[in-house]
Amino acid sequence: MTLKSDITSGFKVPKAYFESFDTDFILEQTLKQTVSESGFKTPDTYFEKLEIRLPKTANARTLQQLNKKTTFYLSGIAASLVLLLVFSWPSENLENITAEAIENYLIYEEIQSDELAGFLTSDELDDLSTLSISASEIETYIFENAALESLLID
Amino acid sequence: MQNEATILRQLKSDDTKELAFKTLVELYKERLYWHIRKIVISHDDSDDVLQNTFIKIVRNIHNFKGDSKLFTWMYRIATNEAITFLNSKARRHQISNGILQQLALENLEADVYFEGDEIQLKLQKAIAQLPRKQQLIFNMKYFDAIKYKDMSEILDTSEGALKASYHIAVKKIKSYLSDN
Repeated sequence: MTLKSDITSGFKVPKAYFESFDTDFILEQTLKQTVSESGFKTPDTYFEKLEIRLPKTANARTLQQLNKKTTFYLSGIAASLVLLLVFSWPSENLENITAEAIENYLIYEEIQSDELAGFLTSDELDDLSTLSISASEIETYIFENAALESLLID
Repeated sequence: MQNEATILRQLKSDDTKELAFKTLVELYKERLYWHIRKIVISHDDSDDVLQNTFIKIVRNIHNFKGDSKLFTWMYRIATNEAITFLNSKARRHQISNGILQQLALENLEADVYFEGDEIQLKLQKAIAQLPRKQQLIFNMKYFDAIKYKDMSEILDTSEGALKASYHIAVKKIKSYLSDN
């Protein structure tokens, strides 16, 4: 039995797929012909002997989920920080502010709490004064919002 | 080999999580180590970051919603841990990230855990010339052959942007190697 030559699969590829595939593949392969390995190595039997030293509390720990109120205030503080930085650097665009610059600013500029408080209403400040946020909640919040850091790195 | 769904289910159960964690470490320790190593350069620093990465994974496994693959979620944690580590180190020494990377490359020549020849050392220097995110993209694709689809989840960037960035990175590196 022979297949009809005019039958097609129905599959298609993005426009110019094969042209760009060829270019990228050839470009990569020519570089790999020059150098293809990083040159890094590990101590002998590093992976065989590797043990992850979990802190005693980490294994048994059940992380508390952030409640909505805590999330709201942490988001507010983060937003206030960004606003403060934006208004403190009038000549800069937000996308030009690097994570490093923000870190240096926070380290060296000695931001006062009343500067941050200026972005919140008195009711919000009253609520904030009774708010209790544990270290684990803060850690979880930062972890779950790691994309913030990625955006700043860009 | 156990699949991700099984490991994940076991990790979330008190009865099985210890064994599941060991399995997870066995499965991913080498891949995560090499990913981290290419970012932080030194073996000792990589070991520290790898430890922290697994600790973060086990602490936050309950927050993993399954929106992405477990493997890409872990890579994302490893990437963030490595970058946070470098930022902290630079801040501690009161130098820029660029200078920190420069110093790491200078130390690399005398590093007992680097066995690269002249061209491999040049390659590391060429990679260091790229912007941080482009370095990540280059390393993940060139050395680890991570698919753009997975990389897209790890770096939260579109596949199109990743392809374009990788293409530019390879061209820059070729150019650096031929000029130096």
